[in-house]
Amino acid sequence: MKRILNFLFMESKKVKTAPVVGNIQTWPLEKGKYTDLSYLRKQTKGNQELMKKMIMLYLKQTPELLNTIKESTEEKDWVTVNTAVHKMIPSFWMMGIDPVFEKMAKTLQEHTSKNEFTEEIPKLVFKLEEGCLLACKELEVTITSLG
Amino acid sequence: MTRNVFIVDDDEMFSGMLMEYLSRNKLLKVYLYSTGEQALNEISKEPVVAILDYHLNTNVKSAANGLDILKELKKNLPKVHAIMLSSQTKYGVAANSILEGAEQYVMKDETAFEKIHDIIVEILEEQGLN
Repeated sequence: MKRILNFLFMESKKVKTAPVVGNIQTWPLEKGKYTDLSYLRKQTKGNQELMKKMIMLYLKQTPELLNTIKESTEEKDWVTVNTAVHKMIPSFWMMGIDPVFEKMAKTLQEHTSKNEFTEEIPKLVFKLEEGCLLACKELEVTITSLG
Repeated sequence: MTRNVFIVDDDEMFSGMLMEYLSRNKLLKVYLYSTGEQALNEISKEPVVAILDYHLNTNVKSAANGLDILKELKKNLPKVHAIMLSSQTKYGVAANSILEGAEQYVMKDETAFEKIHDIIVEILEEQGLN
């Protein structure tokens, strides 16, 4: 019996399920594929200089916004968190980041607009940061391949 | 003759792409401001359309929000057509914007650039300015 339980325990550890934050299942993305520049390519009509400019803006803006979100979360300044998340939202679809992160950001916006702490807030901030930083890393590589 | 359009938004990525998109229309001369105060200082340019973000104080904490700028803009230029931008789906935000004189409320999503351009073209057509 003990051996069966041990076996089941070890098997359960092998199953990799995406962590769930609130009602949102995170990490639906393939490893190493966090962004998709199809939309940006279409909107810039393939202008590589403009694409680079937009990616550079993303790389500049995102860590700044993440810092604001993290610091303001610690200070429980929900208005500032809300405003910073608002600024971040268009970048998800512009850089083709999986919509699950936009959904997370919007959930965070909903929570913070009530101007009160919920346990979901720090979890959402953590997951957002993780996703955005991976996207940044990928875009840093992508930008070098653009002309 | 070109028509002046103001974009007032402190989101450099979104506003930069919107400026690029609208500038493809040779009838439009697009000006970009990151705060409403900057836009109000340039009011003598008499924009036909002003596109304002609801949140304008991410970078400059003391900056007025989009709704306050909309009121000021309408006071000084009653004929200006205002389009309010937001990523919030809340009914209240849209309702407040319309109450303060915005003709349109556009969500900042993948279709926003096309929608805004279409609205501007419609405004110019209605006024016989195209």
